[in-house]
Amino acid sequence: MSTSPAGSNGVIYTARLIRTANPSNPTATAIAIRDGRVLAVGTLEDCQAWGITEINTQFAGKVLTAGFVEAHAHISAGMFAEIPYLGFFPRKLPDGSMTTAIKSTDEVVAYLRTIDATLPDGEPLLAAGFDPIYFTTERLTCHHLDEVSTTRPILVLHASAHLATVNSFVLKKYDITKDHPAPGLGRDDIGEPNGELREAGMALAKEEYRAITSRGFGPHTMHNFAATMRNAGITTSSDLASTISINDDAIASATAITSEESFPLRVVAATSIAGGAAGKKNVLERVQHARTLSNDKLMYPIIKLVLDGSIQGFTATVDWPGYITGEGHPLFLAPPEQVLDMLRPFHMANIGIHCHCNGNIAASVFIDAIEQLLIEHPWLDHRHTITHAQLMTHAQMRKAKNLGMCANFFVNHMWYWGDQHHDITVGPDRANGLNPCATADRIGLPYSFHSDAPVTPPGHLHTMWAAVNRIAPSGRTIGESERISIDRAFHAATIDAAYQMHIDHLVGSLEVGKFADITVLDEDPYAVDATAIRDINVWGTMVGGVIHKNP
Amino acid sequence: MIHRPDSVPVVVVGGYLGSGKTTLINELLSQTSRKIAVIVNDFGSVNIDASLIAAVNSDTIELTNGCVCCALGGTLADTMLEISDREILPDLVVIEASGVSDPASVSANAYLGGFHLSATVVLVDAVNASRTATNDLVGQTFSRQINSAHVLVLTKRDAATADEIAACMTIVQQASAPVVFREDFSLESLSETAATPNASLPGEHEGNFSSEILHLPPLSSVEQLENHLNGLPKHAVRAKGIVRIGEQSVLVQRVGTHTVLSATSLAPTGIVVIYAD
Repeated sequence: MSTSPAGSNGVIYTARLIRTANPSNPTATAIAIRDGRVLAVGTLEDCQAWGITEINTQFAGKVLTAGFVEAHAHISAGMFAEIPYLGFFPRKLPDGSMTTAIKSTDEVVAYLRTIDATLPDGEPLLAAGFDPIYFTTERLTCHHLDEVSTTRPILVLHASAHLATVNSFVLKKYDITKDHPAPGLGRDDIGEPNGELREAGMALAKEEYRAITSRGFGPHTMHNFAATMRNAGITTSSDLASTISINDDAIASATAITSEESFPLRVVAATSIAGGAAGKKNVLERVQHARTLSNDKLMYPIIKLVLDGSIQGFTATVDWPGYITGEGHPLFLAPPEQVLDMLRPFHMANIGIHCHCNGNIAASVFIDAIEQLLIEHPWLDHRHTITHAQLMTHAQMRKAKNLGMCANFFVNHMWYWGDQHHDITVGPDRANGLNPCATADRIGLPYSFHSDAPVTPPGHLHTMWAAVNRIAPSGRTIGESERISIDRAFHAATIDAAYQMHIDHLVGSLEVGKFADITVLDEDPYAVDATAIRDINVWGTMVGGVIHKNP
Repeated sequence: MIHRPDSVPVVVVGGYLGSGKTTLINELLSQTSRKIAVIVNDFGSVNIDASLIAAVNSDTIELTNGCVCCALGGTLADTMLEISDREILPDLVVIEASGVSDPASVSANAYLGGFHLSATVVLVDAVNASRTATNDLVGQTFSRQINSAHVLVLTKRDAATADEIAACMTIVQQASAPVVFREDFSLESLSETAATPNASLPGEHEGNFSSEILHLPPLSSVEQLENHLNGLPKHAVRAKGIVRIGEQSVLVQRVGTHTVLSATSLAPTGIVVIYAD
């Protein structure tokens, strides 16, 4: 970390190339920074016009871009620094190391054994991110985990967080036997529990479940989140369904942490609208209170509402003809006829609303509610955002555009679940139209895209790559006509994400007066082969002119 | 499975938005002499007399009569685990399912350590049932709610037209659970106690119910008992009594289509079955 001394005249950084996400000056080779803000962008000569003498050439061989902005992630994105990760796709941990890809049941056992060997006797072994949807090997059961240990509790939380697998030690500890009546118990052919605990059934393993799900908010969570984002080149990230505003201690703690110069991330904390009328009144009061305590790296411009489930979980509210295989279980997480009343107080208070809608029925409910709210209270610059927005129809996009709304597409799905969507959820034609970035451009609906970290690993090099290529692991391209240019993708990952969070006057482009938030790359995403965008190395970031080098 | 006598019963109250769940729960809180833990979506809707409030915490309200109201903060499972940690366990837990949730998923929380599911009660608003059932957005949700009920309670009959009631009856009769009217039903009547089954079941007015004693042959297994009970006619809304299975005395408490068995030291009494007429 280094910075120009406070009160200094400023510093000029030269670079191989600077991509500003500012169409007036889209590229540059030097940037002048004063007091953490962009003073000038252009040639070295342009920058020197401000009388700055300090020239820093450490990025002379690098490509600098407007700092990436992530509009849909969660603070728990840093969790894999604390809990062993068993994912099929490797992730970069806060310390810069990569996890091992786990591709079979045997590999799960082998990896957990290495962890088992490091733990003191009796301490539980907890792991997360396990994702057997990609496995062709046999299903993980208590018997596999018994090969790891029969003397300590083991709980493996699956990536969906709807399911856990435990060892026989845990089954015995909680007296989970053949005649246990819980509906959430996985069983083998003869009815014996096989170690799978589903949904509420996970809480049967009380202590281990609590240990893995309620680690709560703390300074370590915040630091691991920021480091994970920094490694991915992200300089501003939302924490959707944030718990920071909920109590004064959390606000005070988060305010103190983000105020440290070494903290490498601007955090947009979006509290959930939850509970009934009294609960919502409380959320509004809490958010308004938190807003009075905002700082440059902790802001509360938006709130979050979750309306339905997920497509791969068959719980998204998918309109006719529904799911192509298997029975859907569409799930509304808020009563559709109450959505208008739930949102009204926030709209009236000019707080941006980001509403989770995976299915197109949920999207309709949200769009219709916003239409009504605009009639009641014409906030002309609301930018309310349909987040995930994966299955939006074109008619919905046209209406959303007319109402001044935005979309935030979950474009990483094209890679992580693209084949599943093609084969088993919505089928080939609707898979081609999932996360329709190009159609949003044709219609004029502003959009960003996101990782939903920790659901998928964070990083806009990956989302841009997914939006530009739409390649699935099988190698097929899903929805050629919805591919977009790298230029559109870059803007979606920067200024357009800032726009939908009402912070485009502060971040999202390198424009005079805005924060000097920069992503430092080894290569130019516009110049490399489109299929290699996600492989570009992120050197680090600059947040408010403070350099944060990745480990 | 035969529960330990100290297992805490859990009643799940489900039903679509506006079906009268909160009213039913408020009625219970005002009548009961038991220590009840109620889990609600929103404190604001629960009618708590200020004079009854002993302590207000961020997510619980303790009442002077020993009851506690818990608002859902994290997951329902988290709240259930918190209740299981309480120094004095409640006599009964009542979970108000949200208006769009599937009571079957909610009731999975009633199987956590120390608890058992007493019944899933689903309320159906007679005025709006047919409209909700055919609503594009929530028709499927509504249908799942009805099908997950152990007993269906028809509310707002007074406000419904004859046509609305007829349409509602057509819908609820497709479910496997028996149907009772709200005026004949209270949560208090689901009381799981070892009281003698011959005592009247409070809240279930004599006028709309009849009863009989079920005479069972000697039982050697839980399955045998379940088979007998599952063979009862659909309008059997309650069954209660003490039977002997092999050498063990077992308290039988059935609500609609759901049976709870617990160990008891009391002598067998036979089973009283209550029918909704």
